[in-house]
Amino acid sequence: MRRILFATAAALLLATGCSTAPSPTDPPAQAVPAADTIPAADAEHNAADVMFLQMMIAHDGQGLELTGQAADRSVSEEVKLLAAAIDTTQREEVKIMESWLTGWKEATTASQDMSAHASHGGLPATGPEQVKALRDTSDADFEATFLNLLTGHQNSAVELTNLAGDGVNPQTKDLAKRIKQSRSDQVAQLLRLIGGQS
Amino acid sequence: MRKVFVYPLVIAGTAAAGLVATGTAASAHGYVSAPPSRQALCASRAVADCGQIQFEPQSVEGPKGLRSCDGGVAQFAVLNDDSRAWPARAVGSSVTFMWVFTARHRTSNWEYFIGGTRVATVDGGNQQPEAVVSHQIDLAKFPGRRTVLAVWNIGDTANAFYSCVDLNVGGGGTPENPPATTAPPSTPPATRPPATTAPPPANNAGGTWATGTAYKIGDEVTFQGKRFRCRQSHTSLAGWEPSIFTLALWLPV
Repeated sequence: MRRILFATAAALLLATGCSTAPSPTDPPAQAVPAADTIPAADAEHNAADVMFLQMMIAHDGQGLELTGQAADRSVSEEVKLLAAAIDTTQREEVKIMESWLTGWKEATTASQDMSAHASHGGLPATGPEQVKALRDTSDADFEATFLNLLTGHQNSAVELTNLAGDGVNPQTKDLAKRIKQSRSDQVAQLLRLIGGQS
Repeated sequence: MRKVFVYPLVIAGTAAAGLVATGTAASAHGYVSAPPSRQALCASRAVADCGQIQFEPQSVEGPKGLRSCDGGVAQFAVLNDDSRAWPARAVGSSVTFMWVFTARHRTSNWEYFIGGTRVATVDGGNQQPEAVVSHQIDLAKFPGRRTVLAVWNIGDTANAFYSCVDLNVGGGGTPENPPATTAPPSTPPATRPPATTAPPPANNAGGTWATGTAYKIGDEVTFQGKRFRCRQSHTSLAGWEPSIFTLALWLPV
């Protein structure tokens, strides 16, 4: 109820010109997006945009294999919360990236020929061997193993964002910038947790 | 995580083979995460104004045989700057070093130096590193404030990765000294607070969204003139601003 009132009030404000006029690029009056809203991307794109999104989807997927394990294991509350927040944001990110690629009629998975991407940093940064190694880690060593693996994984996400530099799609470039920021800051949190400084 | 002493790392051949295809690029990267290396201190923002290294602590790569903290990379010269008063972690006489990798190249060995002295060598068996590598190194002969140079020598390139770790090696420390429980320095440098201490998350719930804040489910914030409610507890960071890209964390109200 409250949400509806707020939205109505916001719409009224806009309609009566009491607030700054929205810029032409703003979405019209839908001030309250639903939880499952997926932002749109412009149609213009090139091969670099596609490769970055495909590789980022794969990279996020590998990261989810790590963060998913933290929920069921004995870790500190802070580690559990960070893992859950990374998990939920990366799931959302994957949905957005898949939706953009699908809209462009491009595949959402990267080429199976990994060597084709090797010159761009390899794929994936965290492989099934590391995911399994984490699963097989004893409770006593789980947290340290998890934190170090995830730190390296997010370090390599920062590297991956360089791929978007050759892209042309503005939303993809913006996403790459957001990923570089968020992963760098996650690494900062992870390293503080590894150092026992939290 | 398995603690490695002086024997070669063993990796199942099939597991290693799966990664070879992705390891062909010169993308082998790694650094010491604990005790925190200088690049780790930059990346965790415990030491400020480090420049580009804060975004790529894994990239301190140079030819084998160097004895500098920056791997000879000009843009990482800050790592050689002892005037930065790098905080020294208080440790016992036996120290467990942990490594982070972003690519797993075949490893010739790991070497640890203090001054010009090689303190320890750990054979890499020309294999790819395990998921997490930790080495327990005896530093009993080197008490006090020390800078350890940790070197990861790659097996199939001419290069190595360098990490300097500043320590205050205590006398009579416990043999096992897991970093997570290491006490803060008992005598921190007088001129600055213990720089390895993270700023405690501020309790800014209800106000304007800010980074480094511990938000809980139900907390409301204002960001760019709009109100948002937290739906996933987290400590906020740049890139997680409330927006249409972070609806998993924040819903408009």
